[in-house]
Amino acid sequence: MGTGDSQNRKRFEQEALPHLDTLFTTALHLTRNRDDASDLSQETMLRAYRSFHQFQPGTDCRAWLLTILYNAFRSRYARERRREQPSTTTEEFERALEVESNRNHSSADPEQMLARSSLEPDVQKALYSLPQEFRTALLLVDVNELSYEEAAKAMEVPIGTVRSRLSRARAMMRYALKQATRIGRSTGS
Amino acid sequence: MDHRQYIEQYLSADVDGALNPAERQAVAAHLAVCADCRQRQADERALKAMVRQGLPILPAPPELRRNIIHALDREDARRLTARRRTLWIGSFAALATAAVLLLLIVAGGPGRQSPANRALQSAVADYLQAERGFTASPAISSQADLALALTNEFGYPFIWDFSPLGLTLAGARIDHRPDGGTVAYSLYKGKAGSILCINLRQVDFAIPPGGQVVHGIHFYRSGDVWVGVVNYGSVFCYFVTRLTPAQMMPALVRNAPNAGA
Repeated sequence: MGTGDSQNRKRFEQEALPHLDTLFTTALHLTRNRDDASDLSQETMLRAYRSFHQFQPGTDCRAWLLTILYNAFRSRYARERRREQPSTTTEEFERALEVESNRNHSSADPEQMLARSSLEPDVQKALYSLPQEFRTALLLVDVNELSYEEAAKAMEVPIGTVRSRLSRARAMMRYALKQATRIGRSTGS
Repeated sequence: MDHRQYIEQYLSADVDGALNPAERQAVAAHLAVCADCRQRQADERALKAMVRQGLPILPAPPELRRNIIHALDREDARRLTARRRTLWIGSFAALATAAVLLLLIVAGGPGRQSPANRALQSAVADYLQAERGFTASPAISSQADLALALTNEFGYPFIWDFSPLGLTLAGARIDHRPDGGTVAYSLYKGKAGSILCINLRQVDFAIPPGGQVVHGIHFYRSGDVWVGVVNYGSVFCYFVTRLTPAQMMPALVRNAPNAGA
């Protein structure tokens, strides 16, 4: 390997590899399967290495990697179609949210949920019930703290679309978590 | 702004600090008089915090890190091999095509090869190599896969439909050159013959003069091999084949930029 190549490799390992945990976690929540998440993370790192010459030093490497991850996920998602477990469809959520909005909003719900000790399984389960495009918006902005501009670039949609998807995603999460709380109350857990 | 508007259009962006100045002003004015929306704002913030808290960053499996390092090693080895192969093919191409380049227009006279003509020679050499044996990527097995791959690399699916000629996609691959450039190869084959499509980005590059223009595509002849060139901005598409432009006409009519011209 030439000097330039070894420097490029070293720079990649220093700048990109530290974000592997973030990539794996996001891949896991996108694919909902650990093996697929590992494959997707590896594919992302390889794609990133091949196009590392396009990465501008000093810019947000994590956001750049997440863009590549989501592109790789979409390529795989388009090929593998329905291998993933079915999530609730957008239409089903919209109908449920419409019914819910006609009830009294309990403003204490998020605080009640936060007070519960076992939070992770509920939030993860609720996230996994979201249709993919809404799950992605939530992962990129709420979990990975990308700006709307960065999320728009990663998802290749206008900023307005990110905004509306995020709004709907949070409404869906609120509904899904509320359902989980009701089930917990009714079963005594 | 009313209550419903705030919740449906501004609440999420408000919590994310993503409102523009005019929106911020309008939201502030509404929140000043709407206690319910102030509570909804607090609820939305709590929900966002809960999502973050409930989805912590997880450690990647140790074997994943090892596998990635091995994959990078293989990529480095592949690049080194490709670089050596490029030098070898360049030499072979010079020998193999020297005898058949008599009709190729050479700008600037003998002994001075322009970048444009080097590109044409390279395309012919790639086609001759593809006729002997083409290495396809298993990840690209259909026109849909190819369209996606080209979109990922070049921002647009630069694919053609050669089915009017009875040709179908036999294989495709994306090469990442040591100089950082990307070249996409797609080979179409059938009873009528074969066409190798080559897509690559060439900045500060111009289509060489002297070609025969058919439906917006510039054709050049090298013995019995034809090279068609068309560009979409800085992305150049080369079609290399033994089919003549006349034989390609059904496909050109369907796909070419100036179809019908």
